[in-house]
Amino acid sequence: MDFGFSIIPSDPFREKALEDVLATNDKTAEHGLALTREEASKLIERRSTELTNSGRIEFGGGALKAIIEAFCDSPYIDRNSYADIIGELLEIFYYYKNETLDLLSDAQLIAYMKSCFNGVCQGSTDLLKGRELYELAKRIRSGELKIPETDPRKEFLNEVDYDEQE
Amino acid sequence: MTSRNSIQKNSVIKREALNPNDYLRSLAEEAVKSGVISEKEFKTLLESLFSLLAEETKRFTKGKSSSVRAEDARSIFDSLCYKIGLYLKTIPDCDRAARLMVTTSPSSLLMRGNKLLVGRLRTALSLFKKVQKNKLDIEEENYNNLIKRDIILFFKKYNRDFAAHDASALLELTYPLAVPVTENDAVEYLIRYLSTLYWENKFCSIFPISEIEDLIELISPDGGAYYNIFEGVLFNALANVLLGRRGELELFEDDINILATRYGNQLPEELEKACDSFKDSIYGWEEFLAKYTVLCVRSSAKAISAAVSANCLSSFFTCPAIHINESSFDLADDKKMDNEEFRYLIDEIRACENMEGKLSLISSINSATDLLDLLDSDCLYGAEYDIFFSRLSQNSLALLKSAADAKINSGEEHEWCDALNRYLKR
Repeated sequence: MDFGFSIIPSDPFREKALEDVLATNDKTAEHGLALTREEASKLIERRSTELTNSGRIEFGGGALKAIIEAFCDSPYIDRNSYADIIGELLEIFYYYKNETLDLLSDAQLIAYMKSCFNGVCQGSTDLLKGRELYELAKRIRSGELKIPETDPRKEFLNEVDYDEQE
Repeated sequence: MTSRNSIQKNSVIKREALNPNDYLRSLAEEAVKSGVISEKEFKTLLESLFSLLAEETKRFTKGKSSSVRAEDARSIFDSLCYKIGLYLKTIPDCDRAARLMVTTSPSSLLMRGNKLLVGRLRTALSLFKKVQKNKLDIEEENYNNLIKRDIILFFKKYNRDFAAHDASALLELTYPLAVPVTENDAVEYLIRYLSTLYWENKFCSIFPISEIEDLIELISPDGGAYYNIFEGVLFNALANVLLGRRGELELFEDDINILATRYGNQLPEELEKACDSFKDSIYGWEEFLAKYTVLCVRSSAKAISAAVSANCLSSFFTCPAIHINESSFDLADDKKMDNEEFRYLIDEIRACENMEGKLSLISSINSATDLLDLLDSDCLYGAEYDIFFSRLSQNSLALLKSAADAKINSGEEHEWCDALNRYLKR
């Protein structure tokens, strides 16, 4: 019998995560977006893969749920691209949690991603990953950008406010 | 009649089979193997532990991140398992501990483990305060750094919340004890380390600080060496007891020779017996110190016997090195002897049968030229050269070396030239 103490699964509460994701449909419906059970399942599957790839462990569907709720009102996401873009954003999210040395909270990173995605990147996940977040991570790692402990929206995120740039 | 208590005493799970450093896991495994808990109960336990891990991770990220790096999760998990294990270890009946593991919520077990750990850290802290109070007032860098800096660094680095199992903070404690602590658990190690250090200090404090400082000066004249002060004090004190001098630390080469001659290979046993002689000198001479001093002697017994056999016992105790009167072999004056006088001297040296006598005769030479002539005339043989070279000043050796090199280059062959080169290489 495998006693299971040695290996901690990357998402020990997968079932709960699926229910959490499906529950977001209530909110996203306002914006004409919804995930089928199959799409939600695939997203959970992708989440597991991305967690493993990034060497991270998550309890519950926290980040995926937060990404869905943050991006559901984006003008660059429609019904057809919804599940795919959320999947890509999830991959980018976990990758940059590591690259920013875990100095950003989930809320800070997601807010910054949303700000860039809807702003300078104009819906391009490639630009978001390869340019905006790359630069951000570089500045954080070099110590050039200090992360405030307080509300990120008031201080840190004002640096890139997509409303101002438009 | 079989009482309930006697059934509990005959535990199916034997404590010897459990890993003290990974108690929870080994207890769970043994409990399943022996049927004390079912596989279903084990799976439920594992799920509960993962739920607890989720809660602890939330505390770790202060609720700001839903995911953590795998290595952080591993550390948090090992830490909580360690703390639960700490509590379960206190339950003498292993079967009962195993049942408790599946009938009590892990968060409650964790809380009890936490309480125990905090209690042990408090014990360590109070021991540290006692060590600060009975610290020896000496100028020894590593010893002073330990008490003023390193132990405090341990308390700062040790993460009782999320890495309680991690003993790496112990790396700060670089000052060696006479008998190393073998405990693997970080806090238990620290408690033993501090209590031993307390007793080492207490023992040393019966001797005058000035004598301990003299000893330190002899052990590490330039400072910086890692050694245990107590050990040096103990062995010199024991040697003095055997020589009939109580309460003293100072030893000389002659004292060591007396010990070697008087006791020979029995010296370790005699030193061990002498440990008892301190019990009247130390107020509160406890069982610990009585055992510890004997243990120190026993752990060095082989080295002492080997030193006696190799005729180098002085390397084991701390005593001043023999000062050689180098001035008698200093060739700076260069006053050459009269030829007849020199020939007479050579004859006398050749006729002399012991090395000390030869050295005494050679000491009348003050000229480099005379010395070189003497060496060329083959007055010394084999090992005598080494003894002779060891008595020369650095300047005289350098002078001889350049003369030897010149002779070798010009094709001359002399035994002393080869002997000098061999001596200098060593």
